Amino acid sequence: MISFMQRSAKHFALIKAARQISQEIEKAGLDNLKTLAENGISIVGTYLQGCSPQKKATYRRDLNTLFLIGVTPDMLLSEIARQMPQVAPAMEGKEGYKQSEIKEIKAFIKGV
Amino acid sequence: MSVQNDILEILNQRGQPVKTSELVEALKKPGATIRGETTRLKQKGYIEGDSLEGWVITDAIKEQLEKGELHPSMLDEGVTPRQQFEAIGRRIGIKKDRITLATDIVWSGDFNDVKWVWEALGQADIANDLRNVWVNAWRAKLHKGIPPELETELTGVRKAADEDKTVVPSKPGLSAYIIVDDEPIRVGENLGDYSLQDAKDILTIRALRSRFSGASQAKVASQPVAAEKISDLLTALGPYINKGSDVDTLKELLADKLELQKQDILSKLPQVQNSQPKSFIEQITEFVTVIGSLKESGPLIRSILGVPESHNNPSSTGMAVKLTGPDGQPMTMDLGQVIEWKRFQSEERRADDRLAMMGDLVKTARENVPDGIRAILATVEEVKKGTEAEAKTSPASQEQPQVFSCADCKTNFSPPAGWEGQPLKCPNPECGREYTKEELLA
Repeated sequence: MISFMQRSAKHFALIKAARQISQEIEKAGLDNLKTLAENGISIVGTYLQGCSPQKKATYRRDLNTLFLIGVTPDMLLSEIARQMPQVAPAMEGKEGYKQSEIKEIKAFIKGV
Repeated sequence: MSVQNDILEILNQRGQPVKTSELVEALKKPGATIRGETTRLKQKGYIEGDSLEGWVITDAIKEQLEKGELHPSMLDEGVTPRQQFEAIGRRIGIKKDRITLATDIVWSGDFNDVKWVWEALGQADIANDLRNVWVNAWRAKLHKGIPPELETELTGVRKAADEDKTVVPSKPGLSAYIIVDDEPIRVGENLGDYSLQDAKDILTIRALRSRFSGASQAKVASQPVAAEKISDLLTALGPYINKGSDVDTLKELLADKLELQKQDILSKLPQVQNSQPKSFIEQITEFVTVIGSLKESGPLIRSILGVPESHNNPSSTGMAVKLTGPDGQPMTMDLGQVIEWKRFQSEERRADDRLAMMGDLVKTARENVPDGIRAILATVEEVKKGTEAEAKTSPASQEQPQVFSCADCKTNFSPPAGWEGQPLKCPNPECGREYTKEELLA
């Protein structure tokens, strides 16, 4: 049974991680992100795969830590969608888009 | 008005319990005094109560006070000779029981006789130094002079003179004269500065000096401190000067003596040692110490060494330091001011750092507080959902399946799923009794 503080810490880490990712992918431009989502191309996966090896290592470590404390890829994607209301309809409206994103994130963590 | 009367007046005016602390504040007297007086008043039955709950004046005393019939005695006021004598002893630091003993002995004789008081204190085995102070203080209280018999004991002058006699050959009338307006005046044995012969010699030399020193004399006269020094020098030279000496010899002697005295003053000042090379910090520290001692030595030594006097600036050391200014130009500042300036700069820097750190802290908090609140709200929501789900899945909330018992064979059986009240048969094949809905529910 995890305490209230631990749960709050988990949510806090989730919000901060989602903010960092959303700030990074926002740099690509909202229109481009919408286009990617509409064509069923994973936004987060594309961003993560395009990072430098050092940044990839950092993200992989941070995501692993997040998952260890109980943050799932699903939760992370929902939070990103909440923080980016302009892209959210495109991400959540398309059938199976979210699942493909989750798959991409899991593959990234595993180092595939 | 006595303290006791003041206390009674205050208690009478207030008409309610007054604490000791309030009396101290009202009368502006030490706490010990007020405590002592209140205790005495209580012992006499004038007041009731205590320090914490407050003091109240008794009705009888209140009446007397209002009629003006209450007059404090000398004993109450603590002004009897005996009380004063004991008070001196206490102030000197003598133990209470010794004070009582000594006072009893003194009061067995004439306590106004200083000689007797001295003897009595001796009998009480009071140490000589304390006895001396006690008797002198008591003598002052009685407005009496030092008895001739106790002159040595109470002043120690003759003793010192006797000590001098062992070194210097005795002279008749030692230190019995002072010089006033170029005239030797007798002030009593051992109470003056010079013997008659010394005073005469000094006056002769002064007369010679005023005749021959001319312009330099005028300059010296304008500096009273220097003149006094020279006068002292002449006093010291007295034994070496023959009245028959010529003026040149006298001048040479004076010059030599002055030079010796200057060397003596300079040798007493801390000197910078060059034996070992010292670090800059050590040199600065030593320098500041020397400057400090110079400041203490007074204007005479400063003027001898040519150190300028500081004006209205307590931090000034009088030492100029060359620095490079903010514009790269050399500038000169006082060392004390430089130290003050550096201290001010470092304090400013520390204050700036502290402010920046606080700013960062506030910024971080401002950035993270909304996220933290959202995280807490999300957790609360999660907890709520978890509780609801638990409630839904808990066995207590699920409907218990109905169980019927056959009245004949006592076999238990349940209705089939989706039972809507149609007649049921006992599952026991040997019984097989059929029940209506009303029978089952009854």
